[in-house]
Amino acid sequence: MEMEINNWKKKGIVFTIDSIIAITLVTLILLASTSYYVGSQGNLLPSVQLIRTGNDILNLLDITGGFESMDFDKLREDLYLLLPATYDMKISITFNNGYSNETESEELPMDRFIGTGERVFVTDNLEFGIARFWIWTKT
Amino acid sequence: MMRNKKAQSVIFDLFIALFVFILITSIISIMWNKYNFQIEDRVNQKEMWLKSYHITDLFVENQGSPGNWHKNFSNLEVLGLAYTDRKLSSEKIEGFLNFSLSENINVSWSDKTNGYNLTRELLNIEGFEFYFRLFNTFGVTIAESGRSPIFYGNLIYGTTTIRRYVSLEECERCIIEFSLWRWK
Repeated sequence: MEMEINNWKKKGIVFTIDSIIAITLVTLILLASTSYYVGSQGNLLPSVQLIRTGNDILNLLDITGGFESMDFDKLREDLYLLLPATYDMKISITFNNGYSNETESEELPMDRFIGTGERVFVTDNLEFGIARFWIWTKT
Repeated sequence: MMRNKKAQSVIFDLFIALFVFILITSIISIMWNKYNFQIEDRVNQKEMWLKSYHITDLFVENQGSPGNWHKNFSNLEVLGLAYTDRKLSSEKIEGFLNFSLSENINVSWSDKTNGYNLTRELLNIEGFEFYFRLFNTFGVTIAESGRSPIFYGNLIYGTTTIRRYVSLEECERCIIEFSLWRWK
C-alpha cells in the first residue's frame, strides 16, 4: 500500500516538473515574440519620415529651380536652411551629357539608417538630369 | 503521528505550488500588460503619424474639391491647398484659414457651424486636435490655424508633428507643419 502511494507521489513530481518546464517555455516564447514585435515596429516610422523629408526637399529644390544653376555651394546653403537640425543630407546630380557633381557633406555614416531616393528633372534648356539624395540623422 | 506529518508535508507542498503558481501568473500578467500598453502606444502613434501624413499629402499635392472651394465653402468636399504638386495657392491658404478659424459657417454636409470642428470632420480626425502652421526657412510664421499642442503640456496624451516642404508665391521655400494630438 505504502509502495503504491510512493509511486503516485513520484509520478506527481514528474508531472509538476513537466508542467513547470512547459509553462516556462510558453512564457519565454510569448515574451520573446512580443518584445521582438514591439522592437520591430518602433524603428520603421523614423526611417520613412527620413525618406519623405529627403523626397520633399528634392522636390522643392526642383520646382524652385535649384538644380538649374548647378551651383553646389548655393545648393548646400539651401540644404542647411531647409533641413531640420538633426538631419544631414547629400545630393548628387547627373546630367544626360555626362556632367555630374555632388554637394559637400560629411562621410556617409555606416552605423545608422540612410534614406535614399531620386528624382528625374528637366531644365529650361530641355536637358534632363537625375538628382539623387542620401539623408541620415546626425549623432 | 505519522499521518499528521504526511498531512503537514502535503499542505506545505500545496502552499509551495500555490506560491509558484501565483508568482508565475503575476509575472506573466504584468509583462503582458506592459507589452500591451507598449503595443497600444505604438499603434496609436502610428495611426496619428499616418493620418498626419495623409492630411499633409492632401494639402501639398491636391487642389481640393471642388477646385474653387476657397470661394464657396458650402459644397466643400476635399481640402487641398496646392495648384500643382508642392506649389501652394495663396488664395487656398487664405480660404483654409477663413474656413477653419470661422465660428459660423454653413455647409451642406453637416449641421455643425464651427470651422475648427468642420475641418476635423472633413479630415476625418474627429477624435484628435490639430494645429497647422506655415512658416519660412527663418521660422517666421505666415499662416496658422488650430490648437497648438505646446499650450496644453501635460494634458496631452500623444502628439505627432509632420513637416512638409512647399513653395508659394510669397515664400519660395516654405515649411508646412501639421500637428495631430489628443487629450489625455
